[in-house]
Amino acid sequence: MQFYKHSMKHYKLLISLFTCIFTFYYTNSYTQVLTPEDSLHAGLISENHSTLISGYGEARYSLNTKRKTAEASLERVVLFVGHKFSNKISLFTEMELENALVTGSGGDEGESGKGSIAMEQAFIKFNLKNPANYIVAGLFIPRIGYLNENHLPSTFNGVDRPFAEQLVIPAVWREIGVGYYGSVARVPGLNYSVALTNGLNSAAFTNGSGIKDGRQFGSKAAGLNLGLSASVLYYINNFRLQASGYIGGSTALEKRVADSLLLNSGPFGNPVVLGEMNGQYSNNGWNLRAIFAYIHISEAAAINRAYANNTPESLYGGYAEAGYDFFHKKYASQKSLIAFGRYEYMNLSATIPFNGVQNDANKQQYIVAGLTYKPVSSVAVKLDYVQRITGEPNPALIITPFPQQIPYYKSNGFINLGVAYNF
Amino acid sequence: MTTRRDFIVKGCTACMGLVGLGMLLEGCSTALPVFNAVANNKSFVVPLAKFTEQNTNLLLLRNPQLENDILLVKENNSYKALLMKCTHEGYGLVVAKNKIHCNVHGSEFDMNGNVLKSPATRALQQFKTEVINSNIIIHLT
Repeated sequence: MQFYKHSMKHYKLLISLFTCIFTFYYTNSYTQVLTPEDSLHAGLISENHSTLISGYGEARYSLNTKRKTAEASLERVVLFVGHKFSNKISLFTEMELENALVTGSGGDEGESGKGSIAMEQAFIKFNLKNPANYIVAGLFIPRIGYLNENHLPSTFNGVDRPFAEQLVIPAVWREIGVGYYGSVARVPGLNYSVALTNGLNSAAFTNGSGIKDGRQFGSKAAGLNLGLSASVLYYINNFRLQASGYIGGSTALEKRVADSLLLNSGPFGNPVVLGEMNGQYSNNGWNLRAIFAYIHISEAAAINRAYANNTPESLYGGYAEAGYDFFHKKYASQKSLIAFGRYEYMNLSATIPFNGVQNDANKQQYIVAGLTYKPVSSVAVKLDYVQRITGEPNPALIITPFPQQIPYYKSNGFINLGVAYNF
Repeated sequence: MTTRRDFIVKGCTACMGLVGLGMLLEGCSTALPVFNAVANNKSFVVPLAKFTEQNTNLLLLRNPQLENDILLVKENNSYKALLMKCTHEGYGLVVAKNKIHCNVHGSEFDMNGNVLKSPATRALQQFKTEVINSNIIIHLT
């Protein structure tokens, strides 16, 4: 009898365990993670909820031919998770880990982490009556420049993102805000967008990298300042043509502090104005692209007075790239072998205010040539050579004495190897 | 120093420029016709006459129950029904003259739904169509 009671106890325990597992499985199966292929079927009437996983990444090896140094890094791994709450409302998130290791103080990795982790996007998308028109709210990437949105490493040529779209248009530039994306029904191929986001932080501007370091990335963005951007995008025949503009306040401070630094505050205080145009032609294996961007910071002198960061009054840059896919006839878009060349020019301190210091090293040219091999359309193996030519650095700006000062080469070559994927 | 007046003048000039460009482009283009379809037992019925009425080979089907439009493409006397949802991350697609584009990551598809440019790797979802009497029936399952 004692044995029977003991066995029944175990039996009940087992039943409870199975019940728990079943309940867990059943409740989770409702929001199961679907592959992209499965999700194709989720846009229909019968299924309103689905979760989609996607992502991309790239690794690189770069050899500096003048300094005789090299660097190898898992540049980034990005995980996309999207979820559809209803036919009208969806969530889009991208989490990015750059350079493989953030910190390892408690593990085998030691304390050598040089990476970072960040949300690249996290927004809710609200479809309107015309599903091509929608509103986004959260952390998102406004349509400014080409690469800002089209930044998947398997889709652009070269191991590095084009330098003008790193230093003049700071891709990937995301902020917290609200955006409206629409298409003009009467003109097939004509699209537009308007976005209102938090502004830049001019305290973080660094000479030689434009407004890049002033991005706030949705990480406790401070200040009442705002950024307003708008774009027009038009597809016609084999052309993709885009123009966009941005105006945003750069004083990310409360008025009391801004006043003490003699900075204008408010939504568009100490404004940064950016304008860009880009065009692309794709046909018969050819892909030609050009972009030009210009930035004006009218209150650069006030920013320098407050932060002594040598902010320029204007900067500009652009590039032109031509690529040809030798496999386009045989494999369409399934496999590619693309040879490309790109020329970039930028002047990151085209005009400086009276309290700025000129630095000719900010006049930069990049000549890039290389190959992109895609054994399948979503995997790219890249090889390129980059020749960087700059002006002479201003010795007045060199504060590190010899021999700690790293040698500067006005003309330097880099050999880059990379692999990239998206799924 | 940028004054409030300067800002308003520049902002208004830019807006007028955008509106003007839009009007210019509208003047030289033909709109893509949209048909508000009614679902009938997981299928849509589209009168063949809609194509001749609009003098078009392309028709966008819209229904509140659908997350995305369906593009109906007429080729000779056959019809393709393509879901306007990018197979990469699920964004809505826009139709231009001879291609279908994803504005967000640059994927391109031809009018048969095949991928022309990555990052999308899979063709657009296509629904079965049949012509019965003078209607095109699009089956969603």
